[in-house]
Amino acid sequence: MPKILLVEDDEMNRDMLSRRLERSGYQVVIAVDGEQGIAMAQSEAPQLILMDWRLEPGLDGCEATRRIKASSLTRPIPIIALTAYAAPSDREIALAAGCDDYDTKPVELHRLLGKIDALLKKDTTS
Amino acid sequence: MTNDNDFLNQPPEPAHTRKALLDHMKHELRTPISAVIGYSEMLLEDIDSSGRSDLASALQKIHTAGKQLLSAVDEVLDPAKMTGERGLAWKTLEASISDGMLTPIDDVVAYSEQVLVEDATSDIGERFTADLKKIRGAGQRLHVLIDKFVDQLKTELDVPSDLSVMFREEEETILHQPTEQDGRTPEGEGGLVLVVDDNESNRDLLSRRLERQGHAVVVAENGVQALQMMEAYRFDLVLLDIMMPEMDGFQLLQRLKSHPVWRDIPVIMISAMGGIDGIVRCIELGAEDYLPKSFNPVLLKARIGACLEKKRLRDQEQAHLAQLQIAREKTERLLLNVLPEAIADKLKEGEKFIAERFEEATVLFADLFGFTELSIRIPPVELVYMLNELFSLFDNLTERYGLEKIKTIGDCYMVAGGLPTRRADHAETIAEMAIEMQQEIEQYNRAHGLTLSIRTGINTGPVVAGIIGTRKFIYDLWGDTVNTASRMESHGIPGRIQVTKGTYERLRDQYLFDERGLIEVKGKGIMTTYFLTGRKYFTAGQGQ
Repeated sequence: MPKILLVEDDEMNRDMLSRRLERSGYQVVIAVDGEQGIAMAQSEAPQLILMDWRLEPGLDGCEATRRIKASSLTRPIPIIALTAYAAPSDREIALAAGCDDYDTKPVELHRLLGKIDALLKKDTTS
Repeated sequence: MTNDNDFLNQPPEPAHTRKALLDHMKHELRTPISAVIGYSEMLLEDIDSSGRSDLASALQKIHTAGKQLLSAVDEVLDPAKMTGERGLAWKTLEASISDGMLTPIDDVVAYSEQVLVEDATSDIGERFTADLKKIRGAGQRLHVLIDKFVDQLKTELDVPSDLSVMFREEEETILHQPTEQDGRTPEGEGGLVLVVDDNESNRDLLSRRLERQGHAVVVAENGVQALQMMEAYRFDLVLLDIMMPEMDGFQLLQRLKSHPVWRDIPVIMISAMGGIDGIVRCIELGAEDYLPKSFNPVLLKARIGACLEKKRLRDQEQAHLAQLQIAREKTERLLLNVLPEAIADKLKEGEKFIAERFEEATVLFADLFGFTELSIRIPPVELVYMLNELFSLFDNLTERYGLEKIKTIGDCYMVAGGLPTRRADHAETIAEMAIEMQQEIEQYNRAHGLTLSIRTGINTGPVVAGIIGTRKFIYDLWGDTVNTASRMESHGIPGRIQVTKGTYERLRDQYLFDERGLIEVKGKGIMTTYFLTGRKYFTAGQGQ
């Protein structure tokens, strides 16, 4: 069962998304802020990271992504940015920061699962 | 809750505050919308596997509402639309928000409420209820956000630098809302409620909630039906939706408040329409209170309870006023018993000395003869009882003839015609009365085996009538005419009606007289008097 790291500061979103991913057959581990996200990316070695773009307090999703992609240990892990804000520029910013894909909230589960699936297939490491 | 960190880092510039507000709103709204959609999808999956398809409908509606909200947010809060010619879109923004968002928000809250309150969900798993509550909470938060946003637009505030603080306070209020207890109204405090709403699910939800709280409910789809229901039932309270086709709620409210009976029935307006204007208008039109559509059931119960209580107090007050009125009428009757109405009115208006001169009036004195002899044989109380009976008979006559009884003095009865309202036939009427009084006495004698008789004296002439004194006053008469009438009686003969020449002259054409001749009258000297013996003709309508 693939393991997904969910980095999300909002409790309700965390609850909702983690449960839905679990029902869809994934193992989910949760980080509540950017720093914990970076730490758990290293310690948990997930197959994929879902990164909420606006995190507070502390590091936001953008910065956390950069640092995860900067570390050789965690760089290969595909990251999908999740943002509530649908401005087109967000996508560019996410990709520029190093995200592999981008999705909007509210989450459309099938769409997100599709993206997760695509990235996991591409991922050749373990 | 996520904050807009970037936004916080920049001090807001006046030119951009509206846009910033818009952006912030979109962001704030997406999270609870996301929760609504996400949780409802999960719950729909749960239902599939547990076979509770009865809940599917409500959950589906919640889900649909969530989707509607999402597209509304994108549609309505689009910054691109806000620019352009004089920013017209800003002005209609509030309406767009109301149209696009408030109904789905209400659906979310109402349907999650419905399932939470009315359907047993323990078989599906403990999380089900918790998730539904989250959905409900998200809906409530959305409502708060929208209201806040609309208010902001209205007042065109300088947007505070930390919007999120403002919104967070609201969020805390929502989170600490009282949980729904069994909202049953205490015994005997439920009322008959009319619910007027064009939306079937609203009617349904509200009815069920009210019934659970112990009220009886009648529903109406529109203003016309509502009026029909008002005719058919006596309601204690009306819950009225503002937005309805045909006759909108404001119009119906006006109709109700201008109706003499219905205006006292409290009306609570309910509406998806946010904003202060709607509320103010309702209150100005006479609504008791105003509730937003996504009712907190505890709040609903409290407000309805307060309304019904107010109405009960008002009804009590009406009852007291009615009693007061009855008491007042009693006093009035008492007064009119003692004084003629015209005099009583003058007295009420504060006139202290009331006297009037009448050119022509006829006065009658009648003294009961044989009473004193009786007093030897009959105990005083019984005597007075008899007197009462007799005088009551005379009172009936007085009333029937429209004459004015002045007073009784011992066993003497005094009555006058031609006052306080002038009439041309005052003498004739007194004559009729005198004749009939004789007949009454004869009848009474026959009935009781007595030999009573009355000695009657009548005179016609000018009279002064009025009230004097300040205590225990009566409407009385003065003048020479009165004194002479009294002499006619005291110098009379039992069983006979003695009249002066003046009266005789008035009546000789219609009545029969025996001339008595000259008598010495104390204080008046020698007078010619006559005895009235009967009528000359029997004409229709004479006396009885």
